[in-house]
Amino acid sequence: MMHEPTKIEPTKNEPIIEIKNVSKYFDDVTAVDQVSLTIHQGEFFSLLGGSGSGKTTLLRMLAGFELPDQGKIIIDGVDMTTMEPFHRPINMMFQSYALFPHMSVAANVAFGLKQEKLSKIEIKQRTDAALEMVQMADLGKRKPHQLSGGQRQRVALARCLAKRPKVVLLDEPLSALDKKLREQMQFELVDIQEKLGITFVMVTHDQAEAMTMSTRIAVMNNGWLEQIGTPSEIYEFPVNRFAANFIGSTNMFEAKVLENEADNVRLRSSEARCDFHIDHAIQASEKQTLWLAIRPEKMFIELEMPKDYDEKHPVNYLKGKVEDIAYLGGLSTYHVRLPSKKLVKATDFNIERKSNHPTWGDEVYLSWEPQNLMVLTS
Amino acid sequence: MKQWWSHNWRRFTVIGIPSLWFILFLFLPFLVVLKISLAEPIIASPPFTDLVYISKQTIHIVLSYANYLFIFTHSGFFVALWESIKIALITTILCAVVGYPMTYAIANSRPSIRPVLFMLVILPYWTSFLLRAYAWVTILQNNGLINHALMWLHITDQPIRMIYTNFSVYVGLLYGYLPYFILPLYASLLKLDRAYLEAASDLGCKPWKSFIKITLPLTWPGVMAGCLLVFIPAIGEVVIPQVLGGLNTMMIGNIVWEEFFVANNWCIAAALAVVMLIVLLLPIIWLQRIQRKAEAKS
Repeated sequence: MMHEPTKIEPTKNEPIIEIKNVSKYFDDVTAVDQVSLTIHQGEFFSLLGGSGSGKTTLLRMLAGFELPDQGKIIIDGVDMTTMEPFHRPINMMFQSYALFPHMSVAANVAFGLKQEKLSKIEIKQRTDAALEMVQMADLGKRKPHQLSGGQRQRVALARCLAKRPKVVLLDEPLSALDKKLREQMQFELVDIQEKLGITFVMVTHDQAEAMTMSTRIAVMNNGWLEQIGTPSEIYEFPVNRFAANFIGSTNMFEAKVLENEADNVRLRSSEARCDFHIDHAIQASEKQTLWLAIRPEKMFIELEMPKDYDEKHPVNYLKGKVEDIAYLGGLSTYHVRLPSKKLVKATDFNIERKSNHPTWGDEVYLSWEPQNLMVLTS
Repeated sequence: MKQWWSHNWRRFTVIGIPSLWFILFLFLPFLVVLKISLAEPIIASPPFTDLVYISKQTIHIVLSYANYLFIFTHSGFFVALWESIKIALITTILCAVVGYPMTYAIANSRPSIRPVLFMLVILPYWTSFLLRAYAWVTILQNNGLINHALMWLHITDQPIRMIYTNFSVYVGLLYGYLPYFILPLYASLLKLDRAYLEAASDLGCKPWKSFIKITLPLTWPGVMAGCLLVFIPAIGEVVIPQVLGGLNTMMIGNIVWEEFFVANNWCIAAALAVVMLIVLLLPIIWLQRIQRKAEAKS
């Protein structure tokens, strides 16, 4: 699903949205907690998090439906923290699409333009152009209830784009669509965004969706901003356990620092029943507890005992029994039970049609490249 | 048969009970009224002739249209009917003008106080309608609450005549029928998805304009239902004009009442009731069409 080459990096690195230390409380619940972030012109930016993470509240504050209790929101250089939604140069695509049921598709798209007191000809031209862009030009006379879910979504997008906003906000834009349509719409949305060069800010709980579509992702949790970065930065270099667990799947081990020297770092994990050896220094004091994470696809799985395997004090090796195999055709994920009862996942590509793959109950050895080990201190 | 019954008894019961209710309490009484309207008045008890009787071994069926002829040839009934429609229409408009803002305020109040406000609308209707009509007499009469207050405040030194006028009739009707307007509108205002209003605002629409462009059209079925729920019973209103009205307020309901209980002419009264029913059928059919359309949309 990655299509990195077509993704244009933001042409101008000018900030379009600056969120400065914004907090929002609902009664005694902190929905958004001192969030600061900058979104650049032309980005496809995603706010990713579970329910209650504050991502939707943050989006609604950008739209102006909620006012921050603290902090500032600056859009295109203008402080819009308390500006009414109908004055903001921003348009939102609602999760429910919120198409006006008593108006035709064309009237829905024209609605926003009529508020700008444009000439009739211009309204017509821009409405047609917006519907053309989402391939809905033929259905302008239909009412929303006569459309399929995917068509409604296109109309909702056209209604936003017709206004030529500086930023388009998308609230879980694809959650109402079935899987196949969702994947198709992911690419269409990105294509349109790239063509127009407008900044898109999307809220989603679906990490695959965020990874596929975004230039950058902000991972949110309990109102906090956990990490901001490109999809690969967040996947390969998560800053903490939450980010590592939330994006993709991961094997995590609690470990204690034994030695920490410039080129010789040794950690011991009772959970893994092995020592971890890293060839670069880490920022940690001796005896400190930290967490080591390895992605399943970066685990090697072997049936034969490696030559350098030390039965008493294994270093950079895990030994366990295959308990379950998720065979997905192109790849298989092995669920390996360690003697400490911890379950570890390892993904292996099925490159050959017939080969000596591990099977249920097999004793296997797991290993990894030391540079693929993620060291997390929080 | 037995098998059919064991298979269908559920469906039969579900449809059967309301049907039975409808037949017993609506259709049969209506047939009785229709029957009386086609009979001739006599001085007897009951004061009308039989439609079907046997004499000299022949079955006689006598249907008389004289009562209908009487109604249609006497302009007094038309005046009363027109007056009723006019009063009912004005009442409906008053209910809409007063009821919409009220309902809007209740529906948009905080969820914690919403049921309380709603109960305040409903609560008075748990006491007798007649009692409440008389309560308005004590409020509106010359030495009533309002006039006392006005004189005490020296706004006027003579009581303003309000009771037994069209004004007092409209006050009474507005008061009596307001909840019938509020109930269906309340339901459709609560159903209105707030996302529509947010979307309108997001697209650059100011609040008052969103109300005109979004809220009003989307709650229109509720407004229409409320209007008809007010209009239909208001046409046949008897109590309010009798208790609060003057001599010049003659509604069709009062004429039916007088034909029945004063003139003892049941036949004319029944014929009037039938004519009114037919007149009222039109807005009812219209209401159903509107509701069906609204349902098809959602």
